[in-house]
Amino acid sequence: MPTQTTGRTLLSLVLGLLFASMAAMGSCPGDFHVLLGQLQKQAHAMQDPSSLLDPYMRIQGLDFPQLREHCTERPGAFPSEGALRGLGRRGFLRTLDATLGLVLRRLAAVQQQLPEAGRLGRPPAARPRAQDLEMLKMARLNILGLRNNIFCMSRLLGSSWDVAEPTQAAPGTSPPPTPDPGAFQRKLEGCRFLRGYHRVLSSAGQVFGEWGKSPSQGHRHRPPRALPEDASRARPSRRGRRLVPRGQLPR
Amino acid sequence: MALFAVFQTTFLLTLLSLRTHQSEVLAEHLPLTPEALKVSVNSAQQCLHLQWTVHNLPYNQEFKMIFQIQISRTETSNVIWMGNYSTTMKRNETVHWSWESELPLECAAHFVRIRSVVDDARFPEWNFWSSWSSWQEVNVQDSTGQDTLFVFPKDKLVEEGSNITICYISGNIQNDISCYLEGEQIHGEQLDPHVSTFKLENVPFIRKGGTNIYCEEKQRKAISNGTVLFVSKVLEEPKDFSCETRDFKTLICTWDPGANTALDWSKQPSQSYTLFESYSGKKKHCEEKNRCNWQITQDSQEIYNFTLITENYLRKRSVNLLFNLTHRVHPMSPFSVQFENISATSAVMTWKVHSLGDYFTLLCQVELHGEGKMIQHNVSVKANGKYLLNELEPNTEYVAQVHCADDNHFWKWSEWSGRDFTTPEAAPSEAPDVWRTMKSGSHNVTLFWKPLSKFHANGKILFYNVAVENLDKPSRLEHRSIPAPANSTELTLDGCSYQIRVTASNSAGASPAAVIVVSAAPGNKEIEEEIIEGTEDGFSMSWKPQSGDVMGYVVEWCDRPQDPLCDFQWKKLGPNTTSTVISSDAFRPGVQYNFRIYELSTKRIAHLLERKTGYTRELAPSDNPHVVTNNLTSHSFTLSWKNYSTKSQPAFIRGYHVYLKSKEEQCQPGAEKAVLPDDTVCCQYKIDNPEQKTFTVENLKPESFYEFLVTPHTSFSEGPSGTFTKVRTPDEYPYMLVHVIVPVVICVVLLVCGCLLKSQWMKDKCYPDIPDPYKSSVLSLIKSKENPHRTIMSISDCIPDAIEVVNKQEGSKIQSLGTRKSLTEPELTKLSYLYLLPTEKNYSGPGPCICFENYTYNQAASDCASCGHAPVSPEAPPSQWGLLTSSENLLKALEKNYMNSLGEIPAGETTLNYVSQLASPMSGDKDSLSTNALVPPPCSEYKMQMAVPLCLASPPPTENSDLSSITLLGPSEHYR
Repeated sequence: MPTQTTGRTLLSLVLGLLFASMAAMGSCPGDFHVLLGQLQKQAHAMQDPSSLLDPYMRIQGLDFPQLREHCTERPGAFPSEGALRGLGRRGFLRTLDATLGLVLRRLAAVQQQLPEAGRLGRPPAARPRAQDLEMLKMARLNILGLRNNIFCMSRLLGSSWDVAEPTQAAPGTSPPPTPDPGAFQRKLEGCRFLRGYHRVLSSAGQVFGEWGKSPSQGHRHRPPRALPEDASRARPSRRGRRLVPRGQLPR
Repeated sequence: MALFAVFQTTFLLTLLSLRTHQSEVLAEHLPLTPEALKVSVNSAQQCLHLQWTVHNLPYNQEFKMIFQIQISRTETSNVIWMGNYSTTMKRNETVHWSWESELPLECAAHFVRIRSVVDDARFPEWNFWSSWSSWQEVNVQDSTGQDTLFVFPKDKLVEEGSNITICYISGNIQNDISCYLEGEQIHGEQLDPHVSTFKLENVPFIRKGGTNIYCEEKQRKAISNGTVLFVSKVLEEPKDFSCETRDFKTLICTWDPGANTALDWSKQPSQSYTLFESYSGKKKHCEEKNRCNWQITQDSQEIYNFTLITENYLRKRSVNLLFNLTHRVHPMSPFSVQFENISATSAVMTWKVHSLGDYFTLLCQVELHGEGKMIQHNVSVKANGKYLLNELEPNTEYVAQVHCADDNHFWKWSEWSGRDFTTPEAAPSEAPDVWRTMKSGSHNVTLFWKPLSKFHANGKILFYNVAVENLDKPSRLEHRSIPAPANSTELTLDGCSYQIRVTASNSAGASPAAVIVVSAAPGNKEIEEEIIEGTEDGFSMSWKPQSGDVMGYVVEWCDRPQDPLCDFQWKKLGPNTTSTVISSDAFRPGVQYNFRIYELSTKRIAHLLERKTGYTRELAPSDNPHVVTNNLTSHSFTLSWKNYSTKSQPAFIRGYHVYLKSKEEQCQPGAEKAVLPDDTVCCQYKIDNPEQKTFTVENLKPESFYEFLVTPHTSFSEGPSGTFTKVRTPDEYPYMLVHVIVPVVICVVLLVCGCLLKSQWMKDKCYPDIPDPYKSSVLSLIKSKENPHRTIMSISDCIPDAIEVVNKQEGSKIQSLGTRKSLTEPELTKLSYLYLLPTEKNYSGPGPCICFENYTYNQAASDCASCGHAPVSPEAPPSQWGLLTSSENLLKALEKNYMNSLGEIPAGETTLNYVSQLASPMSGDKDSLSTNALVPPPCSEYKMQMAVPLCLASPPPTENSDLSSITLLGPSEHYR
């Protein structure tokens, strides 16, 4: 188990650094299929709960059978696979990007709540926690890399990131503010949220897979259009995006 | 007296009655009951904060009062706590008091009431309890979620080891509810139908994220709710708190902070550290968790009293440190370390230190590391340090380092500062250790020397000088220079005595000389080798001195005696030493080492004293000899292993064991039964002489299988149990045959030789020559009496057409085709006659065949078959011809047919009859042939021969007369 975890960590590190560096360099793969292949691989790697949910549950002490059973995706928190399939490509990309942006903020909030051992020294019992915290960092890098590729794919599909396009809105409206439900409920909610996150990435992987099977789609974008230099350097804009998941994030 | 007692009692009772009455009056007129009781709740702290006042206090002065407080849970009658609170108060002053509940206040309603009493000696008349205030209810239950389960306390922060009570409120939920702490179910007690409490004792720290406690409805299998108990580690007191200065500008205070008590979800940050100095009253919040810098002001404060305070949300701890600044000086490390005047044995080390002021003296410690040793020196320094390092070794690398501390009040050494240096070379201080080997029978001397130790070499040895001086006759010194690292040289000397001097030289000079004398007469006598026992530690040996005039002894040996170079070694010993232990890392078990002990005379001449040999540990022989079997007889064989070398074995060979396996159950004399490792039983012959390498196994049985194995044995073991070799003893009959047949053959040969020598005699006796009729005297008599012109017809002049053999009875006449009389008629009457029979007309066989028969001798019919025609009886059908090709068939045919035909001939007239193939008749004679009963079958001519007993037969023809002895008769004539 530690060996698997280390292997996954290394894979995540490589992927994360690869795509993060690509993002940092502002370069996008110009080939649709290359980019699509990368997106599929990323979605496939990140759908694995061991990349984010499992370390989160270990950190929060939720890795018990009773709690694991109840750590299920909250219905409606994330768009279903059917809903994602029903979206246009650009809409799908935007929805996915918005979802990932939400997860990033959630992760940042969680990480803020988790003090590291710091300079006080790290007792032996804290080492597994340190590994899990490291995995959370890697997950964040992976999400950044995936978002960068989503941005690139969006550019390749000829959509302007700034142009607002309808995304799959979650049913219902945001719930009214409620009193602090307590740390336990926040932990559990985070667990459910991450379960939904992995499910969404799994669905996204399926959708990306269908993109690859459709011959017309591949030909339609060939030869790839050269990306405008400024566009390729631009970071994904937050404008024109609507957050898809409706669940409130524990902070 | 009794009256007095009654009076006193009455007085006291009256007084008590009056006092009681007064109090009742005060209580009635001064109601001191606490009023305006307010109760507030701090859920996180699980505290009830009470505040009240007493309005009716007289006078505007402070009263010492006691308030009695009652707290009930669930209902007023269920008082769970009652206690007194003493305080002083004035009229209308508000009193505050808090009470911490062990049960979360959300779990149940609480009720509070208070009463008071004045506890002031100044007002004893008010010293009575007031009435209770009315009950104040405290209810913090959330009534919004009647269908929701709540677990309290919510996210409570507690310290590790605390006891805590939690509860759940199930509201309207009717299902069974189970609660778990970190996955393990916990059991509590029911407070009321909707509230259960759980007491957790000595809660442990599990993780920074808190300990999860959650409850689930069993029926729905759904997590209803839960809470997180944030258990903080106990804040530790800082350890090893210490402050020091290195430059009198800053005080550096350090400590060991212990465990971090930070918790997730911002429930508790890491503990903070604050430094407070009491003399100056200054305080500083420390940014780091284990150190803090304090700026020293210029007001020359010498004494510091620091308090280090650490705190978190649950606890506060502090440690104190009082010190004199000048006693906490930790000097900075020295700098500019240099070496001056470096010689082969000394050097001067200098360094500088950071000044701490004119009044400070530093104690510096110089450490010198070199050659695996360390030397320390202490030096007192003001500003610049200097130290002479002496007794150094030449050509040696040293590392010198220095650190300093306050000499007046030692606190801490500074860090080390150092450098390395190397001393120059000096001339070698010791003569090399020299020894020699001499080849016997020659004047070749190989000189060996050991490299000087680094301690004595004093540098890198560049070459060795060898000076050879003839001691017997004055001659020039012979010098030889051998570059290092050679350790030997070979000298060819004549028969004189020589003194050899060897020195080692480096760049600084030469060493003292090692002197050795090679004597003209080595005087090596035959000395018997003594066997010694070695151990893993080496060989212990001793010797007997031969003369008192001894300079010392030398033991020489080879570390690797099996190698051609042998790694020659020697050990020199003093004159008073007569024993030593020779040890070497190169010694190996199973290797035989030979030692020679020499005695060195005062003239430095060596004489061989003793020879030793041994093993550090004898090993079992690794192989058995290769055995050859010789002299194999039916009763013995000889085993030979002459190529087996006893010298190259891993132990001293003490002899051999010969194992013999056979079917015989008993061993031969000289052998004894032995059980082999494979549990087979065999006979064992023991040979105790290692040089006896043949062995004859005797008393064996002929035509028997034997198996043998020859293995060497040492004093403690024998060779490997190898494969037995099979031997089969031969049969003894061939020998008997040889003994019988050879004499017989010899006898036969002798007999034959004798016969050959007496052949003429034998011939004369057994088969005398047949007289030639032509040379007969009878013939000459006839010739002379009858026709003198009569001649004998040549065989080539007649053509025989038939031949008939007639067995003529004595006195009878043989009928024939012809009527001619034989020339020797009287004799012929006793003989058988040969008839030449005519061939068939249509005969178409092969060419004519004429067989000439010597009628004198018996001749097998088969011999005649060589003529190419199968002989058949005249009566034999033609179909039989082809079958009668072999002599055997022929004989059978003859027996069958002709014996029958011969049966017609009276037995007394002939002994044997033979058929002989005759020559083919001439073609021209065919017509003249007549048929009769004796006509032979076509294509063959046969003759019938009759074997005549030797005594009756005519004399055999001579070689010259073979042809002539057969008479070929004409058609009308009979010839013999």
